[in-house]
Amino acid sequence: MAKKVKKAVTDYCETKECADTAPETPLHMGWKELYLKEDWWAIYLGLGIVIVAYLFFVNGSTIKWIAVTPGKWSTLGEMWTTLSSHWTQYFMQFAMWLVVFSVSLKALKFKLAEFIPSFIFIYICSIIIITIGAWEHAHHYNLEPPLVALLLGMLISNTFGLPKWMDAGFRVEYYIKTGIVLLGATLPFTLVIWAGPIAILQASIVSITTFLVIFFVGRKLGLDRKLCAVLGAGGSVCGVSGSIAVAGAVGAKKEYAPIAITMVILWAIVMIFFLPLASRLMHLHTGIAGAWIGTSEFADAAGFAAAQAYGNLAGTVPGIPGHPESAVWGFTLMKVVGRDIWVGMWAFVLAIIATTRWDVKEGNKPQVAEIWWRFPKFVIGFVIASIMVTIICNQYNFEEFNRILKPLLIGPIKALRTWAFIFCFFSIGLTTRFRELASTGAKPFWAFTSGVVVNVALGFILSVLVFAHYWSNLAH
Amino acid sequence: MSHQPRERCCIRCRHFHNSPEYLENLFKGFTTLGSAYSSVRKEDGVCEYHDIYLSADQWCKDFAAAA
Repeated sequence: MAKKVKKAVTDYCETKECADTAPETPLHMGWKELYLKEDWWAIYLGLGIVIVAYLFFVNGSTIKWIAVTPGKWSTLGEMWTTLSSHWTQYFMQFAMWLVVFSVSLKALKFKLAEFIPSFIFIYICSIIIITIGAWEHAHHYNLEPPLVALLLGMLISNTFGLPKWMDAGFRVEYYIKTGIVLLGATLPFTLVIWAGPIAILQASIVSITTFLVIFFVGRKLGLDRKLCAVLGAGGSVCGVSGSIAVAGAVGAKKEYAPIAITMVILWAIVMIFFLPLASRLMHLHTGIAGAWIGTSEFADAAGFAAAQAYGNLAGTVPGIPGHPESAVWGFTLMKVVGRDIWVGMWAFVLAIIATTRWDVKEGNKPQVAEIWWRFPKFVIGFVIASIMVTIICNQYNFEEFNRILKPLLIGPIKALRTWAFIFCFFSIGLTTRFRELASTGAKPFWAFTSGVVVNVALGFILSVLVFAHYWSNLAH
Repeated sequence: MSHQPRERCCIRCRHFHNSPEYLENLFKGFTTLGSAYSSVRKEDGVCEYHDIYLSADQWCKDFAAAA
């Protein structure tokens, strides 16, 4: 992290000249974040996989062998066969994930003695979860892998529990960011260009409205402005990340962030189940449902669980139109492109308001650079991956794409993305310990909940009624 | 009015704590849908003197140089 001051300073400078001439040492990690922030490691890992996959592909081979997933099965005998006949592939894939995650987490100063056994547990359970999802009747019982992962994780963490040190392997955000970069390789960049502006427009309408509702309801209930801002960012921008970024930017009381975290977790988990269920009851198109989830879920990881669970229903449950991928694409465009990338801007604007209107006192004024340093950098990897694969795909016609590129290049990347997402969803469950969450009190609860109601309703109107044409045509 | 040399920012203060492990332990539920290792956190941390969570480049009159 930042360098220590070698010599303690004991007095203030009484003149501007003194302050200006004081030696400037780096305040921030600056570009050290290239190896000290998980966003960058997600980029290295995600893009690394895409590049290796491409190198294999252009040399007439494929990474398909290591990107193994359990095949469809209908009897226990078939299940055993599909697993046992590929055990070397699973073992090598496990070794690959273990090595790349170990290297990066070591750089982030995690203890490998804690991470490695924890990841072994995650991987074995992930095989079981994906295998359950591959059962041919799984969708009849709502055994979608994202939901199974979440429920199994919550069951474990809220009954007998696991040792705290195992949290070293339950890195929800790292897994989801890696998955999002890999997702970029399966999302045409032309789609980002085509639907991105609509996503930004829709997300901005909902984000600003939701923030203002939470803020002013909170103020009406007598809450501190900074708590209202932290809650508002959690409900409108990007969940826990939004709350934390704004809490730091406005200088919130120490207890405000945990209150917002509790609210985000509780409502995000409710929405993981509610939004796909409501979409299913209304037989929404997968792209439209994805956009609604992207507008109305509170966190990337939770939203991907909901979007992927709903997308998996297409083609298996009668009456649900759309391509399975459209749900994840719609969600990604809305949440990542429409909402996540603006978190730095929100933090900057609220920091200006806080220092000039709410809390005028000594202290540094916010700098424009704050927007960059708070930018969720993994989005850069997502965009690069999308551009790379789009350029590669442009060299093939549609028939060649389906015959060659899809099975040998895109498919294996998508399979590895599925693994990263399952690691994430299972980790959400394993880290959701309800008894440990901070109590919020009634007023923050109602302020946040008012925003949830507006968010879900407005997200539905815009996704299903106003911009439905865009979201139902993503696969085209 | 006093002027603040950059050496006296929170990040150099003994009251300020911003290691990711510390924050993830302090804020219960942080890792469920978030991470202290994210870019969006920048280097924000907790001032134990004032009990606030703030940006590392802030400062105040209660600055005490870290050992």
